[in-house]
Amino acid sequence: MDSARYVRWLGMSMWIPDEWEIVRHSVREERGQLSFVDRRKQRLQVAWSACSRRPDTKWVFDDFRARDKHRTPDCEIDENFQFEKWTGYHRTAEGQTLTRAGMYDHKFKRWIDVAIPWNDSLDEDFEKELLHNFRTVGPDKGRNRIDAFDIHLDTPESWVLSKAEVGPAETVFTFDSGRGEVKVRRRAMPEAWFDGHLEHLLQRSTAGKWRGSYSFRSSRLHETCAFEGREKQFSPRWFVQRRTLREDRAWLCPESNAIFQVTSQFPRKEPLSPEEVNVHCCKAQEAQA
Amino acid sequence: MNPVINPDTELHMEALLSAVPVRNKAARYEDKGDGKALVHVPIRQKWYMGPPISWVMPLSKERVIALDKVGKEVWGLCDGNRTMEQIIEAFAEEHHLRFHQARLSIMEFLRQLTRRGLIVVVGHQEEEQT
Repeated sequence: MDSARYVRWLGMSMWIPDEWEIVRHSVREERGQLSFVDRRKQRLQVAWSACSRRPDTKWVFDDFRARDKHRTPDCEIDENFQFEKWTGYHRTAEGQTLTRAGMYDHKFKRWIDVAIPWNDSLDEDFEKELLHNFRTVGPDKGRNRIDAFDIHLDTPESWVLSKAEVGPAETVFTFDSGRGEVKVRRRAMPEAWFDGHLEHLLQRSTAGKWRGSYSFRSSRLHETCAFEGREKQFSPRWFVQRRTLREDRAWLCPESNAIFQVTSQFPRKEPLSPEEVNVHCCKAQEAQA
Repeated sequence: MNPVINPDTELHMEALLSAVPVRNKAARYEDKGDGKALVHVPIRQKWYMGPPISWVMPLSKERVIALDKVGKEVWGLCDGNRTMEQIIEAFAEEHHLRFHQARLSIMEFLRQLTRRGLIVVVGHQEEEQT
């Protein structure tokens, strides 16, 4: 790979060509998929499903072959494919080759299979590189890491990614920490919409529902605007002392040309600071962390 | 297990990226100078909206669409020569975005412009047929 990018998602890590992007993703560890495309075509699909024991790979691939044969009766299937921990086959139909391979992830007890549709002809070296670099990775020093959609962050191990929303020039990850909810937002193209005042940005996002104070923290690499407040509106939660509090941190990272905002919402008795999540917006920030 | 890879989607992307957005020739562009611009597009009025109804209900004969700084930039890129892919590339480079991020923004914006009659997207295949 000439120019590669590191992707780490739900305990799986891989190196992919820089121009590939994720177009479909799941946030469930038990079952899901990641699909990658280049500009025109689907290039890689990774699917996983929880599986307490190693499945019978012969049965799994017989099923895949049967489905492929059913879909394209004229396809040719190469029976022999084994590389490191991967087992699979190549299917050729109408001049296009598709690699199907699978492996059992002992660490997270799940079956992972990949489908790699080739553009013209099968590139075996690239296929091996791709499969060789695919790893299953656990938490590092009690922290889970995510590297995807241009967001690089690590969170405490117990946090669960509950939602990942990817829109035009905006990505939002929502985590359930057990104590409350934490949102990490990355907004690109600040030159198009940002007026240069982080305080205004936080005021807009807290308008109406929250009352609190804004402050600036220059101790971090990028000057950060902080908001600490509580629910403004009267709600039944006031009576049971379960009023929700909110903290925000927002900063502009010139290197990645984006604004990052971390928001935590939590009950009064169980504080949850946005600083519990480490967002590595740029190399300098990662080095400092 | 793995869902089927859909070749139709792939063809769709190929056709879309090689398509060329062309401005409505009847649209009138007015630069407001402060990073904003207005585009006036004539509206074809219904037959019953002519006189005498128009005497009592004077309706505008054109629709006005306001463009912000980014909208102006994309409007400028839609010169009738650049393909969708070239527009996305230029936009991505200007705003330090990845191709796919820029594609999402541009496609959404061009969809709105098409809906409002400011541009049409000419596909490669249709062009060959005509």
